[in-house]
Amino acid sequence: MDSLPLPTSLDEVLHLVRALYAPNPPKTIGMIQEVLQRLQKSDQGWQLVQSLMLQPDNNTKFFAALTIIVKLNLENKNLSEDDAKELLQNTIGWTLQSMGDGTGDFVIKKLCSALVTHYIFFSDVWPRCVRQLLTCLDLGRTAPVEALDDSVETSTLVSGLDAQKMALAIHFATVLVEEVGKTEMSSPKFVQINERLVRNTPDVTCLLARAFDRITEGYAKQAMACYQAWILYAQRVPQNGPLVESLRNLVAPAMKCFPFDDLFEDTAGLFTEVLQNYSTFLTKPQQEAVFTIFHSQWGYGHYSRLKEDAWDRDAMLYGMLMLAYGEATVQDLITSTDPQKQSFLGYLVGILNVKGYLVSDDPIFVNALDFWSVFVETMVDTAFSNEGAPQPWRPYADDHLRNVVMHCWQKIQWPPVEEFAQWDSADRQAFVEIRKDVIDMLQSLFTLNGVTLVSYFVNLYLESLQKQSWAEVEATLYCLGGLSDCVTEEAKYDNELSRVFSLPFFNLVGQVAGPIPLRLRQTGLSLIEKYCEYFERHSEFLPHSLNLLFAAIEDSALRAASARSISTLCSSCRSILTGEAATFINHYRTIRSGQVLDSITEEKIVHAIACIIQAIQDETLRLTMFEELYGNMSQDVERAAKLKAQPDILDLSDPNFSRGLENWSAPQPIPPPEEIAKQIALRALRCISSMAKGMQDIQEHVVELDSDTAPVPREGRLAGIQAGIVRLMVAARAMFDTSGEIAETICNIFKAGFSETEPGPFVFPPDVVTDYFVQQPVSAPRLGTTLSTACSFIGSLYRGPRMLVPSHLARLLPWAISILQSLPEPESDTEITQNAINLVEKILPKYPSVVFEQPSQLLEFFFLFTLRVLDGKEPLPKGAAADFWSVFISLKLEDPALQSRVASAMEALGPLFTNSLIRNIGGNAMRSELDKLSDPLKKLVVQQSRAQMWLESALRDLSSSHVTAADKSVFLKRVLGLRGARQTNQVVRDFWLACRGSNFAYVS
Amino acid sequence: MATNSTNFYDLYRHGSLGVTLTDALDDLISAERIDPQLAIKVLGQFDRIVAESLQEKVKARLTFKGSLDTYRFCDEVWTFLIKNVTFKMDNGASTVVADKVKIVSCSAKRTDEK
Repeated sequence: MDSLPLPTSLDEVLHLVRALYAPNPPKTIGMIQEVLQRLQKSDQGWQLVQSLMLQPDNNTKFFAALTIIVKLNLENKNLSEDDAKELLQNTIGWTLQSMGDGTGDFVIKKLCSALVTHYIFFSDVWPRCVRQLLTCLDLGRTAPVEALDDSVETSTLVSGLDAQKMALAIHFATVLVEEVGKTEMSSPKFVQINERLVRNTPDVTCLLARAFDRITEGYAKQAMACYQAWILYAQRVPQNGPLVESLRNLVAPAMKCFPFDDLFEDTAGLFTEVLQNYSTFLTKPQQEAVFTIFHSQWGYGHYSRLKEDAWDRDAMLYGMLMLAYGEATVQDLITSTDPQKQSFLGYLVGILNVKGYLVSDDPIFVNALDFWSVFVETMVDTAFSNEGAPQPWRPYADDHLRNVVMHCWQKIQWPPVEEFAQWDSADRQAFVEIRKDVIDMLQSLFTLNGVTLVSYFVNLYLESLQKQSWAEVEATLYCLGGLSDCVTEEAKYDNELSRVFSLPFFNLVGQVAGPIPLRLRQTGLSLIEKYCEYFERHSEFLPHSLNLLFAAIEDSALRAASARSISTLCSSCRSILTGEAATFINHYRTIRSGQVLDSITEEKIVHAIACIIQAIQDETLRLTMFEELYGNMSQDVERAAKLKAQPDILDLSDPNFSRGLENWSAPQPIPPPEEIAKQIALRALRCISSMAKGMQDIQEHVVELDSDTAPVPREGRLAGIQAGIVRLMVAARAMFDTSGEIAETICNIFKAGFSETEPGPFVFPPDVVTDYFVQQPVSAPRLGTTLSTACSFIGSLYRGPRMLVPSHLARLLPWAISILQSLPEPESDTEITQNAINLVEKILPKYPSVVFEQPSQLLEFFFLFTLRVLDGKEPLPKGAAADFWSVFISLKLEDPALQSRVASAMEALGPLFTNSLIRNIGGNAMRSELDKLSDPLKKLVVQQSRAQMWLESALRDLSSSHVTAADKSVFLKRVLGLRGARQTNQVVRDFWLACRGSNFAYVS
Repeated sequence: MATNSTNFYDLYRHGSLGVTLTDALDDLISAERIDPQLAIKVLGQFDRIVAESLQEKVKARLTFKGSLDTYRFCDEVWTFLIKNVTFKMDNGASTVVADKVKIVSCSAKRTDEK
């Protein structure tokens, strides 16, 4: 953008200022703004202000006032005390003049802001700025700051001011406290200005007292905002006693504003905020004074309006004030038996029951619920901290809470479908969230009422069922579900729950056609899942429940909830359900063949059945059932292979093929057969992965570490199954060799077996797993994930017999390093780099011989590779490299030959590594990497005798403009002195900061 | 009443987001694209936004059960050490287990605001 030349005459300046505020293209305005800013900052800036303030039009004067602010912010240090006084006199003079000559309000307000800016930089010139301004306003002219005295009371001064002057003074006092409040009070730079501001408080209170006294003169609203700003400021001031005391004198005058309609909103807002966030501001008598409002006729009028229409703005604010008062005095309200307090609590209960539906008609319920949640939590504390002591208040509190529960239960009932359909998505979401908030409150209440609460809802359920009031039944079941985490396995709870889980319940939830709302069926199904532990203890209800759940799978709206419940129930009650495995497999086949299940539902069902199969004691039966289930997936993979080879066999009317269309939706074109084949295979593999998780043993077994054989069969039926699964995975991987999802799912299947200690279909022989990994070429997708899975595999090998481990590691290690060798740059695939380094790091401390038996060329490449990573920018690989070096530095080996190899490697690489480390600590590393990098430094100092020499040399080579040789020497001394102690991290952090410079000391 | 960013805890700066933000600010300062004063303001805003977002926007819930091993309340900070913890997510997703969990909780209102 071309810049305009600086104007050479006042006329040119005026022309530019007028053009700035006139409608003009953005580019023109930008150019004008730029030249005017240059002018403001130039030496002629102050002269410009003088000239512009003499002009008649508002925009020019506004620009002049703005220039004062800009100059003060940029050049305050260039002004002497006399300059500052002169500027103050002039600015006050211009302000007074503007008030008298019809200048626009916005100009006068900008001049006020200029005065406040002046105070921020020159508070020593006019420490009692409010009094100074009031004096000038009273005189109608400027007065020298030296002439300020207390001969006239401030109250007398303000009593003579007219409405315009009062409004100006209040505006100044508001902007003053807001702007000074933005400064950092504890900073030495701003301590004095804050102290001086506080000295203005008596003058401000006089001003505001007069404003509250003359409510009809039109500035009380402004005064309320000013009062609020000063209270907010007072809250943050340390040792604020006198300030708060002074401001408290205004509580009573401010309260007088409540009855005035146009002031109610501001007054209620102020008191609500004070009660919510700074309740100690009000003294006990002042709190009592607020309390009297709630029992006045006037207050009751507002309350009645709230009960009828919670959207009535004033009534809503009144309700918020009541709730804020309740929260501020909750402890007192709980333990008081005073009739007035009880009556007030009754009002607060009533706020939960205002007319209309939640959210759309009743926006205050959520606030009321917040209050009652606090009430319950405080009551829990009070009841248990004084256990044994008489609690005369308890019956009253219990009585209120009964009503609270009843109102909440009524409010969370779903509205009729047609009503709900009219709500927007935000209201619907809010409704669902409030239901959860109610559950939170009920869970807190459970601590107090336990079985009584459960029993209450069970009775409510039976009554609602009798009345066939479905919304009530749903809300009751929802509340009971919410208590499932609290309910224990004691008989008293089971007795209550047995009253719910009986034939009528299963009939109700199982009704496909009829009047039962879908939501009720969803809640019922979810209730079964939530009380799965109950079903473990009462297996007689399990068949009912599971039949119901399998039937509900057919309903798309209930599918997700039922699948989840099936999965949870089958997992928890697996040992009871072993006899049902064949039936459930048939259920699964029927559902699968009858319709297209979504993959998540299918995976949950497969997981559920696998859990049951896992619990079958008889191995022959277990494997038979496994093959029955697994057969479905292996057929899918075979079908996928066939489809890929012969695309013309695709028949989308066949559910076995349409399974591959899950991600497709009209009007997109149908994907090609190869893509459908891939999806079929992927779904099958995901189901196998779910099976693998379901087959995991839930019991712990003893592992024989000294055994020389793996707990896996080499022959027999189980070995055959395993071979089949591996063949399937290898085939799928080869068929869709570019699919990252397939590669990742196969990794998940392997992983599920790693944690197992007993033989099982997914507990593959280690050589099979190793074979799979080392056959993955560099071009394989998601190789980072595969390497990470290989790390998990190594972890599982360590938990098994020791004899078998080295041979596998000896194959995995070169594979991982060869992948690194194929990378064009260490940072070209950070996941591969990180996981491959992790893999070597995992092997090194346990089996160093495996590492050092590798060809020296390979090892040399790897070590130098990690150094390149350390010098790089990627945090995760760098962290892995730092971890690797920590391990390597601290290696202590019993085998002398091996130890000698390690020592010579360290001898050669130590200086290189130390250089890299110091470059990082000397400013190259990210701040977040320092802790990670401190670890190898600590190890180096403790383990390596030549550490000092290497560090000295590395520090000598470190170039930094911010640290001297002495700084480096101090750093080295401190690091060596700490001998690897934890404080080294802080020393490293300090040195990094010193190397980077003070610009980086902005955060501790 | 917390309108000033200094009224918010800076404890979330030590989480992944805060650490990463600080690294990014360091980069910007290194490149002389911002000055440290702006970085301070950004971190102040971060403290405020994280606190407000966690309070107002985050609707996800979870419940957990475990054995309370140790608890303490010192300088307005509660610390709980819980063993054998099972977390249950709100959306019915699978449970998450942990051998040991440390919960550090501060009052939503700082001492100087009470």
